[in-house]
Amino acid sequence: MGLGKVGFFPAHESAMAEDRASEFENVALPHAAGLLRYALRLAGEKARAEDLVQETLFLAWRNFHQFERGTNCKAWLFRILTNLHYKRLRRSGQHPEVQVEEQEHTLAAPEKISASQEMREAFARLTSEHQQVLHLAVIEGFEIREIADLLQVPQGTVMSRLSRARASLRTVLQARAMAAEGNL
Amino acid sequence: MNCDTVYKILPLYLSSELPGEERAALELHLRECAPCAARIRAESDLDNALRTAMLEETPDVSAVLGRVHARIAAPWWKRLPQLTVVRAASVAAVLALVMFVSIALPRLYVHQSQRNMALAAASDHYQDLVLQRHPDWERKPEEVARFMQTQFPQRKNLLSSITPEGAALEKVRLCNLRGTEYAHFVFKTGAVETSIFLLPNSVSSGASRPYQAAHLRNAEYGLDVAGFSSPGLAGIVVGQHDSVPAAQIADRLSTTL
Repeated sequence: MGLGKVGFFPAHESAMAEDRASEFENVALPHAAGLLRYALRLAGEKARAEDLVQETLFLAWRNFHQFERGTNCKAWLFRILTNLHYKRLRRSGQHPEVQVEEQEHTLAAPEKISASQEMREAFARLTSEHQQVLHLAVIEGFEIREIADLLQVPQGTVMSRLSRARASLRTVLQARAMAAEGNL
Repeated sequence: MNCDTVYKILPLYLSSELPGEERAALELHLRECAPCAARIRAESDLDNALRTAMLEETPDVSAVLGRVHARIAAPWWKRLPQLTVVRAASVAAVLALVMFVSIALPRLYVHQSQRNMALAAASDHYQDLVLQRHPDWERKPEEVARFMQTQFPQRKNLLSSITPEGAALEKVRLCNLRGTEYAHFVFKTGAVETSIFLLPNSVSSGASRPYQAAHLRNAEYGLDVAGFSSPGLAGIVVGQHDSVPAAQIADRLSTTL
């Protein structure tokens, strides 16, 4: 379903509105999957994550005139989503979750675990702070300064957090590998 | 470049953000330092493995996109129900406040100011007719005619219109009720005196805001006071309780003037 094709605007409205709809569709909507992936990371629950992405895209649509052409639309959308998430957390009286890494890692049977699944499970063991920074840098491919802008922290903090996150991930993977060997 | 520096700028190198000169220096170091080269390779492999694992499962966004399309397509009034209950309640509270400020508050104010004006008229009536404080009355027909011509030039038959049934004009003067000039007419029916106060030369605001303090009893003086307004004039009728049908006169004037 295309924004510019299904009559979202009454016939009397200008062609500019059509252009705007089609630009929004081409520039913003392709990032929906990335937004949902990140929203799942932040909100944890599918329904809340979907609601967060829906609200983000709707806000982006309403404010699309503020988006500067030629700038990074993905970063703009992620900023909206992040702000919206923290705004909701503040409103609900919750605080951003800071998890402590678990010391004991339960394992599935090794033969049933692929390398990717192993990696996903190890990643899930990281603190939300480490997951967030790795997600933005490695999975979504944001630059350090963009992550700093999104998380509202200095670039140096992002860099050191990234190094610690990678080290943590490696530690968890190694611990799981050692535990799996012990189970054999 | 040494190993510590490599460790510090590693995130920038991995995300391909290292400026050309620094990148060249780092790569030179890697050719000479096997541990750093191994470390960078390991970090890069880790990133690739993580990226592959996480992108292997693409979340289904069709439901979200469907809802976004529907919301964008919907006219604004259909989007309103999507407000949360709290937001809707906030909007309702703000609307109620706006309505109170714009409608109820002026009415309350008008109500109070008209009540005060009615009490001032009752007081003036009492002072004029009982205590006879004011000597500046126009009584002779020519003086009254001149007064009417000066104060109500547009209203030729006003005097006969406001004269209560069976009464006759006794006197008229300009008085001041709480800072506003009124023409104070005194009519007599036998020994009973009726005061009618008219705001001269004005278009009353009463058409849209009728007197709400219309009929009040002033127990202190034993008087009835009734306000009235018509599209052209506004005024107050004052008379002795049980002797002067002030409310009835006011009602008549509000429709006939």
